[in-house]
Amino acid sequence: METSRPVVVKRMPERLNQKQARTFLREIQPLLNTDRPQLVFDCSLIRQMDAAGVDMLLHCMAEIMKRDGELKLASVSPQAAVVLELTRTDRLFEVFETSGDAVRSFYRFLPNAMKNQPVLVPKVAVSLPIDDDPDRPGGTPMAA
Amino acid sequence: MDVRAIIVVGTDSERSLESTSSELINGVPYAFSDVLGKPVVFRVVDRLHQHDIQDVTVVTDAATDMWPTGTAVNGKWISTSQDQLWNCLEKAFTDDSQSGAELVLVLRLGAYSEMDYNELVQFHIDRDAHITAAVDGEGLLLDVYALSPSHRNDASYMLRHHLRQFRAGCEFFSFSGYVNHLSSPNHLRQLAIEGLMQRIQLGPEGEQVKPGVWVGRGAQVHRRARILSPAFIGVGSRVRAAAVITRCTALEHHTVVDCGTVVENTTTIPYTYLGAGLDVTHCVVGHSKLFSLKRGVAVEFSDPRLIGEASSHAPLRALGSLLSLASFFPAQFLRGLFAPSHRECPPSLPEAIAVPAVALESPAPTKAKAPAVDAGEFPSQLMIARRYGNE
Repeated sequence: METSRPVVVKRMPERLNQKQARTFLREIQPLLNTDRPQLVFDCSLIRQMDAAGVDMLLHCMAEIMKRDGELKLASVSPQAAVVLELTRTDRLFEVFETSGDAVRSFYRFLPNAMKNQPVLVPKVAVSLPIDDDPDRPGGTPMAA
Repeated sequence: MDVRAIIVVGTDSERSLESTSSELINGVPYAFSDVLGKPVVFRVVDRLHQHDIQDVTVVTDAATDMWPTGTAVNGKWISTSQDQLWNCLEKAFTDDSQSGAELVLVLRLGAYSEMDYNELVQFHIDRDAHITAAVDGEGLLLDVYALSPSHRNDASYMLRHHLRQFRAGCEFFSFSGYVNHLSSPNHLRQLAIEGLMQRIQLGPEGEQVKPGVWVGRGAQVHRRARILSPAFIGVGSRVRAAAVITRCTALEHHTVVDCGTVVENTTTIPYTYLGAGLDVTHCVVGHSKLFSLKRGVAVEFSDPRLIGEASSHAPLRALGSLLSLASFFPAQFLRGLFAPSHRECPPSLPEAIAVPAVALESPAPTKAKAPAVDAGEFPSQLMIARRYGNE
């Protein structure tokens, strides 16, 4: 069955204090309420983040995981990376260099993605068993 | 021989503007920063005293509230404005000359070096130089000069040109010992590491309570905290339960490390508060700012729960502690009364299976409905990447 759920990339604001975090959470609330949400937070703009910002990220992650979705972070600015490391939350998120990488990661290892991959033929010689029955369709006829 | 010294500490000297890195950390000169329990400027004054140079004057344009504590017993301090710094230095030099000094050392901090000043003086006398400038192995000026008051014009010319231009008669004394240029947080951190590893003469100011662990007077370390050597805990610092201090960490005076915080390869600036449950690693932290050495970036914190600053006034700190203690029990009482209980009876297995999952409460959007998210519902900065077909 083909599932093409959308991946939503959301750019986070420059400052993530209590007020901004609340506004941001209100903006993304409809996304969190969808079934199996797939979200990427682009953190490239973040210059300042405090405990409320980290708390908001954890809240988003909890909500998304409740709905069997995934939240990934992309383009994390050095300032944001420092705060995430400081608060030990960096290890909870998958972090990607760019939003594109993060979006692509949602489609990795899916059966549908693998379907169109070229079939690799092994270069080593493989000896196959010879079917001796010539009457069977596909069987190898014996030399006279 | 009457040798005197003048130390110049500028907050915005042209020399520091020319270089790519600043000589200030949070607006305070590195020379005033504590390193292992003592400000760099006091360590330089101590070194001068050790070399029998007792008359030391410190000229600075830094505001007096930036000055480290203990200026009364560490030389004669002169405060001036930024534009009058060099004039003030020239005046101090003239005063020393007129009061009988035979040689004046002028040091701009700047760099910290473990120079043998007697060797510099001897070199100056042997060469019969008007001015002797100390340089490092690469020929860079260390901003340490020996000036002869008998050649006052040459000295005044150099002071008027902010220690950058010399007349004839300048000799260069090559110094090959330890030099730290102290122009970035990395340099400050490096100085603390070298001191803790005892590779240089600068040592921690405190009692060595176990090999490689120095603790200052009045520091409190919780019995469940772990201090791994080498480490330095400054005067009046507090390390609370389950905190870990490791890898050449230097906690300068009155630092508070809250419960469960790991501090690794870090220098704290005095009166820094590190919140509970943090990983403070590879940085210089203080004044609500964190300088990450790994990422080369400074991050400012407005949230005192993460990184804050304690008051430098003891009564205010005591009052703050008292208030937090007084508000703790009422807050716990109110929380107990009004907060919703997190305890839920575990449902029996058949009931738990019967309850639909949260994900199923809202119907899954179909393929047609997926892009039907109302464009007006989200701001314009929202981008939707969607997979089409089999890609």
